[in-house]
Amino acid sequence: MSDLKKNEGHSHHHNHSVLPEEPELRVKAIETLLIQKGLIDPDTLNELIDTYENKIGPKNGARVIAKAWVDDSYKERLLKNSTKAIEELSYTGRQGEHMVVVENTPETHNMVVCTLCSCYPWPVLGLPPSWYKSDEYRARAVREPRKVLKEFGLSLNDNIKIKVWDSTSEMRYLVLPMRPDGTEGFSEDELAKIVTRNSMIGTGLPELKDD
Amino acid sequence: MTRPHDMGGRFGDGPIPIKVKNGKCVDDEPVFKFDWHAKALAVTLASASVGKWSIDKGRFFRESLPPSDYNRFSYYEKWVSALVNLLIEKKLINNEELKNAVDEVTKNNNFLIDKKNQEHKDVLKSKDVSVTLGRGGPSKRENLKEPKYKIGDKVKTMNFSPNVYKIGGHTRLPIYARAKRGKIVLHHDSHVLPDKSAHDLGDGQEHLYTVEFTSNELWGITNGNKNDIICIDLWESYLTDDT
Repeated sequence: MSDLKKNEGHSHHHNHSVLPEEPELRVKAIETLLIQKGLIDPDTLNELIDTYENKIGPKNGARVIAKAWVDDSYKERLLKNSTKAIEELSYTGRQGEHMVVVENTPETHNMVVCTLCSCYPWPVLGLPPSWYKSDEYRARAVREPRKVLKEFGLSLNDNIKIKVWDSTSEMRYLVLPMRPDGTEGFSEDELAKIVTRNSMIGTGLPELKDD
Repeated sequence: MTRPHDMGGRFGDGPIPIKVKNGKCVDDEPVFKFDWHAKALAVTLASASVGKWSIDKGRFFRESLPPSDYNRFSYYEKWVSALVNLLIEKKLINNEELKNAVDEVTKNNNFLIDKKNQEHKDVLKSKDVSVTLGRGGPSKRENLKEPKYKIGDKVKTMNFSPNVYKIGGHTRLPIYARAKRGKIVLHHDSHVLPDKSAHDLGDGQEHLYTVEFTSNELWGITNGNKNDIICIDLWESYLTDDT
């Protein structure tokens, strides 16, 4: 037991002090060393960067939401087994292995945070924006969500219940916003265009272009 | 019993760092603000394929940075610093090699990488990136044990860090939700227990639940709001019956 309970250490969490102060050089040093040692491949780095810069982003999530707005049976599947329904659109994998879609209603508004780190549903939203990873959002979203939402320009009536989802496990949360009035004749593609990233995190609403 | 990453509910932080125009958030940030952010992400993801550390171990190394470093480092600086510590612990690199690499790039920022040792057998190849990301690393596991709780049950969280395996070890019960009363609202079957997985002690799968807490329970009558709810994913061993 004494071995099991060994104090989770000090020394090996301090090796990074060898790195230079300049962040760019830090990355360069470690990248150089790992390539030299044959542990990473430069082409792979470019592929990974291209993937998250150009291929995976909030446009994916917007397609999910738009489909749910026009197709009731899809919406039902989405709320019942979110991972599977999102997989129907081929959005799967890393940081979205276990999805939960939470629905906004006239009575309840949902918002998502990760107070302990920066958990975020990558396959549908891409990498998180810097504010989502900020101390300010992580510290305040759970204690004063209404004040936080006001800073985003979203003032909710006091009677509306706010549900804040703190992503402490590998479950990843995606907000299904309410379809705005005045979008009755919209096609699925047109609807996807008004679904903002913030509306799927819960820090905003869908935005009609003339707003 | 805290580490600097466990900041939910903390006082003192300023406005959310967003761009606001006409009272509305303007969301036009590029995916990567600097090239080195992109590199930091890519190097970390690519190294994990040879390092084979669990996602929990990766998180534990980030939150184990000395608090003074954790607080002053930007997001990707934390990633890179924790990565170095992980690579050294896994003996994939050593301190001397790291010092040499630092010397090289400090002397010459345009330092060209020309020498390549034999490639590690598990190195992530560019052609496999899409399939590897698409597969991900599911945390759901089989569990023969029946769930202790059902939806609607009232529970109370531990009043200390539930990590009984390592002093100061990794856990996902935030300090703001300790010794609080809540209600089970979702059951997600069984998942890898971070408290074990972060320390190479196996998957230790347990039933995972979403527990709903009222804002007033977490923050008190004066700081809370009677209409707000906070939902937190918690493993079975983090919970006791609230009778």
